[in-house]
Amino acid sequence: MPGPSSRSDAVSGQSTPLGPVLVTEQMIVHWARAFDPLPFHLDRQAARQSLLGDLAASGWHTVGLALRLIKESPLGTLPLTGVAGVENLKWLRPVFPDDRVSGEARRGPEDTQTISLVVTLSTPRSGPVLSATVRFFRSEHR
Amino acid sequence: MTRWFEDVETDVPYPLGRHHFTHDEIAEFRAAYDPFSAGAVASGWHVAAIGHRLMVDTLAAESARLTAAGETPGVSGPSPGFNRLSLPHPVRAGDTVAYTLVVTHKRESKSLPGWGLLINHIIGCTESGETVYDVEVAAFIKRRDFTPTLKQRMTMTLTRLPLLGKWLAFRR
Repeated sequence: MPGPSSRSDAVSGQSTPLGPVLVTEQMIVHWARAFDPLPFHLDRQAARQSLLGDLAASGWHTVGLALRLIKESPLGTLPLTGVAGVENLKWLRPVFPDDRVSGEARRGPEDTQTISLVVTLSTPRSGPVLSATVRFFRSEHR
Repeated sequence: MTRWFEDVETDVPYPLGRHHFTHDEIAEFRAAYDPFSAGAVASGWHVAAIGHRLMVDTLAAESARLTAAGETPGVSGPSPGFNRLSLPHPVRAGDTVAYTLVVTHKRESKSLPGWGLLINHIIGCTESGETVYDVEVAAFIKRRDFTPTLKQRMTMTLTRLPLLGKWLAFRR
């Protein structure tokens, strides 16, 4: 649960830690079957012949993980409803089975309708795997 | 899993198909991946993920068509990211979204020998004509007409992880 100090971090724009979450092969394949059925997200053998070298999570899945981790962090108490857009998204490295994904987020640009969070995720094996600015609608606008 | 880089046409709209968003699947996506979305409104990331799914299905269909015609299909690679993705209007349970792909740019990759880079512009529209999704995603795609240099062939033989060997080496 977010305490008073983490709440003030969220307000002042300091970094808020995200995660970690353990990403399993089952989670990777579950997302891939639904939303990204490319061979290197579905099948270990096929993935070893691919550019990524091993079964890797869909980058779209990694962002889904980030949304969940933000909601579970102290930033989850911000009055946000839904993603309005994403800017400067970089899928820097693959996320592989059994990677522990963690990261941080800080407050970015805001306007009357949206609040944005600058998010980075990393794994011990690959280092930074994702960076993006995720813009959320303010609750009063949805 | 697609065409070859050389055969991809730019500035031609490809219909990717439609998706009907049901209340149940909106709730399922929210529970698994995006607790920020609420009510009958679909997660924007769900709208994006379906657009990607329809593109992958379209590439697979093109691959099957080429195979049936006796040709060898190309190879799709991963995506390095995008500059801008927008979800200007909400998608609600019961909405049907039609997605369209236009490849707006293509060039040979500087960082990955043997690969090209596409900019895939995907737009989603509801039946009432409202744009609900708009993204320009970069994606790698294999070049057919690529002959590696001697140095590149040696590197491939040595690493067995030819293209990303340099940045994968630290984990092997």
